[in-house]
Amino acid sequence: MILLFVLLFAPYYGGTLTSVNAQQNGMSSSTSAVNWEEDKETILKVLNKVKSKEIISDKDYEKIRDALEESDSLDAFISSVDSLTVEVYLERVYESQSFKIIAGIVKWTFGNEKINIYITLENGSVLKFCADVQDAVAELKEGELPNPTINIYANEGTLRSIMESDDPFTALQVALIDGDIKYEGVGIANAVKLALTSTLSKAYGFFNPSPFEVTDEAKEIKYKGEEATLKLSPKGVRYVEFQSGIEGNDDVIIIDKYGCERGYTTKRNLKLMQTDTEELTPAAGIYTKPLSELKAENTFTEVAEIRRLMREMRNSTTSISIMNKTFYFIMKTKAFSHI
Amino acid sequence: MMKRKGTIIMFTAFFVALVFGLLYEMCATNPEVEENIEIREENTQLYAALVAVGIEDAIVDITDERALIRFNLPNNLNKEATWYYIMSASAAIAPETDKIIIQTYENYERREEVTVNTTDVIALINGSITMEEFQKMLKVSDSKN
Repeated sequence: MILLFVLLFAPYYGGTLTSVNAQQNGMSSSTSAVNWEEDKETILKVLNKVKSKEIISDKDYEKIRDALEESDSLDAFISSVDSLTVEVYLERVYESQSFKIIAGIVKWTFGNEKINIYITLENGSVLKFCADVQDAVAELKEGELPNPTINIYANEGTLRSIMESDDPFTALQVALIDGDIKYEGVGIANAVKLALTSTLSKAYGFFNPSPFEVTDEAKEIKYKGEEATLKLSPKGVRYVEFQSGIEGNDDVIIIDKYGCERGYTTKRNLKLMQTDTEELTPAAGIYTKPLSELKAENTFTEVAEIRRLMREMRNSTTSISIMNKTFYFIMKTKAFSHI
Repeated sequence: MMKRKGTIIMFTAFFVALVFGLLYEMCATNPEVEENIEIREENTQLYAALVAVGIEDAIVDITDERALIRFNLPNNLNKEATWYYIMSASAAIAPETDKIIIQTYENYERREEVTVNTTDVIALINGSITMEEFQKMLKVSDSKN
């Protein structure tokens, strides 16, 4: 149900979720307590937004919120809402700013259809939902309809990216255009209709390219509400640098095509990368924490001792001492991971 | 009459959409962009170890085969001491790699490249080999520029 919410309500989620770790680990069905708290917060934000727009009824809102409050993991939440049927008032969706331009196409494509939605999770299992769309109301529930007119296929990673994107509506658009969310009509007439929709969405993408679509030239964009520049690293990876940077801090954010944070590097590291890219993999020099944060974490006395040895190194005895102290200290702390 | 008009509109819409869809495909002269980056936690761990001793400008790139560390030497650090530190930190964080490759830069100019087997670093730390033997196993090559 949560994934379905992400698919349908992503445009309404305007907040910022910056859990790089969660993203890198993927959303496993055995989400950790910390990740669950983050997910719970996000789901609640989506839910509140959907409720404030009167897209679902108060009764459905209460049912989902209660299930959310009572769950201690994503698994538990999914199981508790699987049996629910939620009514979605589509007219409200079409009226929203995000959908205004394409509301006609969406209405024409998905109005009065019986839709099965298949979401492949990272553990390989498939969540099945269905939506019976009757004019302005869509009834969502778990399971499959026996005679669908449209099938929609998505995967967990894509939905999570949409949810975590700085611009979920654009992310949804990118996923549809790039085929990360696939939809197919059942029967010739529906197949033709969906093919036309696909072509129209590409045409729409042609005139309204995603802000995260990158070219060889630097591009001015808004990221997290700030003026920023989108560029391509020497290894072909998208990154964003803020125009109002803090002096001495040259952190840049690595993002994907959906505008999700994937990692960090620095402008100086990019300069170092530029010198020779041949031997490097695309993940070279991309870290899960920004330099400014890593610097703040270093408070170990062992490190101070190693640094002293490095400054004073005169002979092989010092070399061995440096190597031993470093090895056992790093083994112990795994380079201070998750301080 | 109305039905015919509807069909014409539908065909026109389809044709226009088809043209723009094709245009989109043809005009999309995007550069090669890496869409699937597998970010390794070990890269961050080793980078954190480098940052701890003052090496902030560094590219860490660990694969199953090798750990490649490219760094710009800070003014206040001894070059050889830095190599030993990096070798040791890399062997601790990525012991399964075959090789450790350290590319030294000064003022962003390429200098020496040091290559060593990870097992040799561990052997030295375990005391299975002496420093003298270990130094013979190090391959130090000059700048290729």
